[in-house]
Amino acid sequence: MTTESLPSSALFHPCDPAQFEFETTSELEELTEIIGQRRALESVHFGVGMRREGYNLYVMGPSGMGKHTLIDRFLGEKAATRPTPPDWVYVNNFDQAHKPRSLRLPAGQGRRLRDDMEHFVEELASSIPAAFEGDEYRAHVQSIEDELKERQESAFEELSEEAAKHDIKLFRTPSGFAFAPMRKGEVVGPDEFAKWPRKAQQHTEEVVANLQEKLQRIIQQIPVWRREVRDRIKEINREVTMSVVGHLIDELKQRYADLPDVATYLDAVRQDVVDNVKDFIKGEESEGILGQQQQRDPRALHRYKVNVIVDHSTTEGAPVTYLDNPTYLNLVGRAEHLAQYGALVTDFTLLKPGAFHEASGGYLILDAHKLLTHIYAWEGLKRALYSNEIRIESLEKMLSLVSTVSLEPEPIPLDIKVVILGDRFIYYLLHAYDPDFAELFKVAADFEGHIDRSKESQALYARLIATLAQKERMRPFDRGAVARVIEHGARLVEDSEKLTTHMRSIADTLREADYWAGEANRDTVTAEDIQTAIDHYVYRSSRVREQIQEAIQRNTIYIDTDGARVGQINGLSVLAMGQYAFGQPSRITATVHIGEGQVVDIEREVEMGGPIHSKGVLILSSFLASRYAQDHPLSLSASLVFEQSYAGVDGDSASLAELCALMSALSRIPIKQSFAMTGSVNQHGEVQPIGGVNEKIEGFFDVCRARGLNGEQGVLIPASNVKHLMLRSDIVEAAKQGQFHIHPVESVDQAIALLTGQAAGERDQEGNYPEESLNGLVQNRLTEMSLVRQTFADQAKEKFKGDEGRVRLDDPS
Amino acid sequence: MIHPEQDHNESAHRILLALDYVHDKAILEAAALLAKSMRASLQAIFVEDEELRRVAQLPFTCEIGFGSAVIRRMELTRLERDLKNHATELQRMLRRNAALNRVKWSFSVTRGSLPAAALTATEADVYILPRRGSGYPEQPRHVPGVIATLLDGSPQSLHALEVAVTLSNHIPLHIFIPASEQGDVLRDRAMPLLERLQHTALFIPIDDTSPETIAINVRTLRASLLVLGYAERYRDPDVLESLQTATGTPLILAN
Repeated sequence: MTTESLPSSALFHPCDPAQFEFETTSELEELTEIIGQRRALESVHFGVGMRREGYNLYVMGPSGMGKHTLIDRFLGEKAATRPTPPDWVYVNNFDQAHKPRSLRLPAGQGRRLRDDMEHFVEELASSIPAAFEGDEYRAHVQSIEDELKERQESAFEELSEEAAKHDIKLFRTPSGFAFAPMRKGEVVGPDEFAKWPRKAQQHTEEVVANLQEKLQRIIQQIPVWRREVRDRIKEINREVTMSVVGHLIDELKQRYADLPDVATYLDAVRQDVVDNVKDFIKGEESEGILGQQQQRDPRALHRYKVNVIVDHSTTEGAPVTYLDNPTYLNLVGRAEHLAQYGALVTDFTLLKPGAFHEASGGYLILDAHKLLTHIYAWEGLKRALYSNEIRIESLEKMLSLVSTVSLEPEPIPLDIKVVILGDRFIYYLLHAYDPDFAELFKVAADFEGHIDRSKESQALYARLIATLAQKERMRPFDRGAVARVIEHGARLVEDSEKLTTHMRSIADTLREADYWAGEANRDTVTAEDIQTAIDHYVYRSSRVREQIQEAIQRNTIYIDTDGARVGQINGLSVLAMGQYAFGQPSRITATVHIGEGQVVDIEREVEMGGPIHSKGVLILSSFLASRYAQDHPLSLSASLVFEQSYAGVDGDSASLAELCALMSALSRIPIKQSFAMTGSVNQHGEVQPIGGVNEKIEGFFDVCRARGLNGEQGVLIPASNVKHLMLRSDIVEAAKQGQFHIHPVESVDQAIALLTGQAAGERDQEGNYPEESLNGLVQNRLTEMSLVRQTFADQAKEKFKGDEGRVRLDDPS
Repeated sequence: MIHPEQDHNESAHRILLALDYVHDKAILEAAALLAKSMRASLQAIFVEDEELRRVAQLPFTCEIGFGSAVIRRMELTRLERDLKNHATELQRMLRRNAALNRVKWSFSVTRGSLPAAALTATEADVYILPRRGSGYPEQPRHVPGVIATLLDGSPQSLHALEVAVTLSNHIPLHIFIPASEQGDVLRDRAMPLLERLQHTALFIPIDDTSPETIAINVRTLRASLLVLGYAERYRDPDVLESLQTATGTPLILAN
């Protein structure tokens, strides 16, 4: 039971340039559609059109698929048809300054209000001082103050006169007043007073007491008089201020008549200007108005500013925002601070918008990886989407790290469609570990990694190449170049029947080919330039591959490519170095001896084997037991190892090779070392497909070619992998010349027959294999091992019985 | 009492600053500035009011507080303590102002009654008398209002004008002159001085130069300082006392 090697035509599926009707891509129309992404596009269309909560999108697929370009273009077209969202501004809250108010205005009006308020303040800054410096105002205030002074003086004079009638005088003391009796213009001394008749003393004391009470009433009354004066001056200030500010505010209200919130704000501004008119009057000038000089706060008039947080004055349609650096603060906005007198201060003018503000009413595009790697950005996004509002809150406050007074701006409503771009792994992780994710991102747009390769899709590919060439101002590509790009596109997805949709890889190849065409002084990019680009890419990435190849050639890494060995086979593995992957042959050896039916995977024992590799080994041991040990115990102990493997091994693509090595060891039939093989095997001995078939074949071919091809060498691959073959042209040529062979195998029997040159043998009716067949040899060896083991077991049992009842000399009892 | 930080230049002129328990930062600053300008030594006398001491010794005397209006027993010991504290504070303020202007200064405490105690203490080129408090104390003005002076043709009034000009840097200066031809002549005589000192002033003719008329005009102007020549009539303490009471401003007398 052997298989023929594949014809060279099966090793590579070329794209015929003759199928194209154009000479170069310059003749082709630009491609406006995205090829092969119908499912993703329909998902995006649905997600964007669905105006319900939670219908945000997660667009998934590997990096470089062109997701961003597609989403950007799609959302751009969609946004153009939607209305421009309103402007939002933050203004001072005159009742609670730490809670700035938000105002909604039609698009473009926010900036207008800001400018209007700036002019308003400028106007007040000149009009108010002028009004208070006027003679009318000063005379008015002067008369009120004089009135108070006269009132006080009059009260004291009356009291002094009353006292004088009783020969008593009012004195100022360091901290108050006192009354004392007088005689001949001098204060009566204590000695003299003591000589007075008791009645005169009592009379004087009574009069003084009476005067003191009156004085006390006057002094108590003075603060009341002063308050009255202050109130009257305040009222005059109010009237003067109103005369200036009133008509200015009325004009502004007229301009924003259709915006009641703005009108309410303007009323509050008017009241605040009246209440805080001192802020408009500089330094010494304020003394005349307020009785004492005011230190002017340089930021005092900032409270009348308008902080335009969302400005859509130049926006057409809905905004589409891509946030490159999605930190928490860049998403929700922030309150910045200024250092003032050694302290950090903030107010509503220092509020800065985040991406939510800019994108509200439209679309926000974020990268999943960046979003999740910035602290609390994901939490901030979820909270905003749940609450449908943007609340500017510092992280310190959110985490309750500080309790200082900070701003609590009025939240702004959030109407947004969030599109997250990321890979599938993150999508599945979020789905698994964050229940909110499913609530908030109900639409997944899954990008296909490949499309079917057909005449139509190849034609679309040609237009895609044309579009990229035009967009990036590259040279036109002739049809040979297009055909080579298509072949490369198939190779990138490891499938001759598919084409990659990984746009970055294709675009990079086109750019590099354009460069090489330029180097070759060509006006058109040819297939040769594409091949040069591919070869150079491989060359640039091949340092490790070449080192390994060199080590094999120098017999540092042992790989035989001729002769035959028992229990030894060339396996194939793929090493991925960043974006570049290459194949490497590895020696796999198997040893057997009598045991308890275990196949030891040395890689697993030393924790260098992954779970899938271990699974493959367990499957092959199960295969051995079910095929060869139906009526006796599997008394085998075997060990398998990847020789000279110093890194981890995973995957089951070597399980067929391991099984063959094991069968060789059991049958003692050597395996031809001119072969390498790859493929996984199931419990029934059927060969299953594996990945990286092209790289694996190329890896062994390079070793053989370096040593000289002898016509015997080749690779055994799963038959189901034949459709994936897109091999290098040198391998195809070697196969055509009969120098190298690719054998598809469907079963382990096919494989072992090829490897050993000996028929595997088929079971007869009694379930036995022919004596000299490979399977027969394996079966006999296992039976033999079982019998030997049974004999050993019987002898041990007898020995145990003979020992019963004897006292052992070394037994302490 | 001579202090080490003062300037060692010999001072030909002397300014006598009379102080009592009324704190007036502006008058201390003005005195130091004037002393610097005149290269004069500044001699401060804190006068403990003898009359007030006698009041405090009466067995029934009470004090009614300015702000609180509380009536409390007046005691001599407390009065003395208060006066001493006032004197200490004023001396501290004087030291600072004198150091800033680098003028010689001294500070002494005496008993008596103002203004007589100050005027008789020593011969001086300029006497500075504090505001006389009788009624309810006015809230101090942080910015001096107007400086007023009288130019009546006497040598003392010319000296007073020089003093007023010295003190009126950036403060409006109002000069009372007789409302007569003499007034015009005096104005013409004053102009060169003002020009030399690059100063401007407003001349206000008054009908007579009696203390009463001066006081009325000072009050009308809301002046914060009155500077007069030390004429014969002001050597009478009663005249001075009534002028001070009527104006409510500190008074500077230029000899």
